[in-house]
Amino acid sequence: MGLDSGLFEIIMVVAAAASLAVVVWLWPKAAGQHAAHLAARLGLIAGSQLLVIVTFLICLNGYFGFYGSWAQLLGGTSPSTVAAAAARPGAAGGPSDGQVRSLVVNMTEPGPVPGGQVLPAEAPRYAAAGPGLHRRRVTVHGQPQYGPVAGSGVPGLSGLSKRVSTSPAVVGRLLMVSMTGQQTGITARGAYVYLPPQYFQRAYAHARFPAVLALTGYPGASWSIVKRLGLPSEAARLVAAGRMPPAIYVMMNVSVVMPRDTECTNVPAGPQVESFFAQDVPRAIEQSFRVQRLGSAWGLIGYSTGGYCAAKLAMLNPYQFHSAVSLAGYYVALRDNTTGNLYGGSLGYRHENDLDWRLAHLPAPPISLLVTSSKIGEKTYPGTMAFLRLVHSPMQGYSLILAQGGHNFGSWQRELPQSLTWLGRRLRPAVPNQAQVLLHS
Amino acid sequence: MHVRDEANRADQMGLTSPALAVTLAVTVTVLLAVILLGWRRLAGRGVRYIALRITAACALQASVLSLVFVLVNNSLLFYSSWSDLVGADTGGGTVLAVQGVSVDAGNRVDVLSRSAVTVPGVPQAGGHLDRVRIHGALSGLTVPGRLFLPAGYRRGANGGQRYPVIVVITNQAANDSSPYGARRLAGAASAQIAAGRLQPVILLFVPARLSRSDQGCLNQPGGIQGETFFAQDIPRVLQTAVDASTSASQWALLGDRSGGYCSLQLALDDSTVFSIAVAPRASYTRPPGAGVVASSPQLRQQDNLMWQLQHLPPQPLSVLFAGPGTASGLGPARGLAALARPPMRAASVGLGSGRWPLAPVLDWIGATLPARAALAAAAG
Repeated sequence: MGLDSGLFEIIMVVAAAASLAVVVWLWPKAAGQHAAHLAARLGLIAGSQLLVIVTFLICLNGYFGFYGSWAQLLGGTSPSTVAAAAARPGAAGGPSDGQVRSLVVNMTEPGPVPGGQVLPAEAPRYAAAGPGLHRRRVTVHGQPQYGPVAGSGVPGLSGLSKRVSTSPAVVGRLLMVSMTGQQTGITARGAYVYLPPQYFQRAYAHARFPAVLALTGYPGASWSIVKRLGLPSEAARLVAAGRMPPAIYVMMNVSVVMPRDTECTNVPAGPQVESFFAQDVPRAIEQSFRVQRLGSAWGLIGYSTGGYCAAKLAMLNPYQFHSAVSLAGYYVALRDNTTGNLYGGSLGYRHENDLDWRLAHLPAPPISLLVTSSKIGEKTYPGTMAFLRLVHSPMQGYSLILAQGGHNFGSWQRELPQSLTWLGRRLRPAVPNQAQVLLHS
Repeated sequence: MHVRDEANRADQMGLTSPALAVTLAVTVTVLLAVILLGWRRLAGRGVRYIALRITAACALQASVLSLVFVLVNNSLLFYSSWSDLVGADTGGGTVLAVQGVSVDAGNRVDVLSRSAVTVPGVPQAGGHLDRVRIHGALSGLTVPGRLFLPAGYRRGANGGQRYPVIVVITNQAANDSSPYGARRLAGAASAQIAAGRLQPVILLFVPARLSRSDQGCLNQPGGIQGETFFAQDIPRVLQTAVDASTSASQWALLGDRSGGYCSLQLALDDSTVFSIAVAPRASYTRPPGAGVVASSPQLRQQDNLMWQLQHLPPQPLSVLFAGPGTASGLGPARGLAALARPPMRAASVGLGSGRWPLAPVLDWIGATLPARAALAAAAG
């Protein structure tokens, strides 16, 4: 049974409640004077207590999306470095240029409706989903603010649930995909790709869209970006309000070899995670969607470890990623129990992964970076300010500092509208009604 | 600092304060003791006693859960304060520019001198060869080189068509007697272009040795950023300074000796940038200048081509083992070539014996580069 499945949570809650009932029920039987009775009391209390705590932690995990499966929590099935099983020649559906198609769509859902809830409200989470194509009817509250409402109920009945069109040209599409890196052999399952409504509209039929790679913290799940951070719905809202151009969002778990925290590092003789995000993911996305071509200034956004990764990936690959938002990230090369030895025992290599060190010792890359933190409630605040002081031309640093806010989705949601607007100004917008010949660059 | 003081006052029993955790721990202990000692008083029959038992058990559970939550929150810091927890913190901040001045990134090619390439007996041949200095913005390296632009090259002409590039990694660019000498290889390219055996290409000659120690074109940990220079700076420089292609399928690497090793290594590491590599027939069992990363066994392993081919997925590359000598066959490169699985292809060719020893190599590159018509179609 999946660690994060709703059924498992329900069973645990029922078991915990039952254990409380058992304590109350058996109470009189343990009321004697014997040592055995005292032991029985302790046993009853401890057993019930344990069940309740475990249930609480499982629910907490479900809410924050730290671990998506038992394997992620305990290890065991994490892919070895030697995942050469990846790009097999002659795989079915490979494109004609001889490269292997390395992206598989596992599921399709309607995208979020701007102004509505984060949809789809009940989409299955990562590991739980099997292959196949599902479509769901979507019900939203309130009036959609964008696009024609085809097939909806009577407009204007505010407060009533009603059906709105789930046509891709109205709400876009949210895809769950698996990607296998041609360069690295790393496979990322349960990633999400959000295609905006414009992607499906006739005016944009030949347009290539800018892309944004979004990364979770560690441990995390890509679904959290959709559901907890609400990135696609916020983006849809901002696009509808004309505050940013439509873009394709690729939302991924920052830890591709769970349970190890790789900090987006090319681990010497280990998983090449930086190359996976900087080369493999853009290549896989480019092969599958009408996205602007390789090396064409993607945007990056991530929180916590994903913030560090966003800053690092952009600084190391400034031609691939031109602008990045680090929500409550840090800027030093971590080493702890969950990372293991990421730097091959080389101090020099660790330095190269330390963004403070890079700014002090290497040429600054031509990128724009927005860093966020909070004056009160964020451990990352001093490190963020220290990093900002090191930023120099041609790199452009921006800050967004809240007066107060913790290291959680609540704070990041408050930072999201401004962060996305900032990012949107740095993307090359898709051009509607573009003649094909102009696409060549 | 007014704000700070206020926060400190609030923190006396703040969500993350030690006082709260201690208070909860004491509560749990006291409740547990009370329940265990008073167990018999609650053991009676009747609704009243059952209600009391439920209350006692729930109170204990609630205090334990609160303690667990506070401890977990203290270690991972999800919520920094009570207002944060209940979502009372609102309001955004302002985006401030810290560094607002945008300057040129510093990618640049300085042309030091220019000479025409002429090929006796082939009147159509031509183009020119520049002595250049390349400034890499990301690596911060300034490297001397030679740049060959084919006959008829004019910036922005050719209907926006961009040229394929061969990056020649050799320390022999200035040596006219070496087949890898810039004049000789540019002459050969010019002749093959004129003969229709190679499409017009740009050649860039750069040394394999970027610093005093030869780091095999890799990023020396914490030092010379060789791979950054080759795989990021050079493509960017040529794409902005001249009409170099932006497609990996049109980027080739060609090297002699340690430059050959570089070619293979860069192609394997950066198949999104390069798709063709040419290197001499050699065994390539260990990198040149291995002393650079000798401190880390893992880095040394990673930099070993044999290890890389055995442990990482095969890349979409065409590799040619060429020379030295005119013999055909893979020779000492057999071991490496045997590890090449599709989509990677390996071939071998002997060098020519005449004025253009590398002509067979250029012909092979010409045949491997995508045809221009196919490219135009793909671009559309």
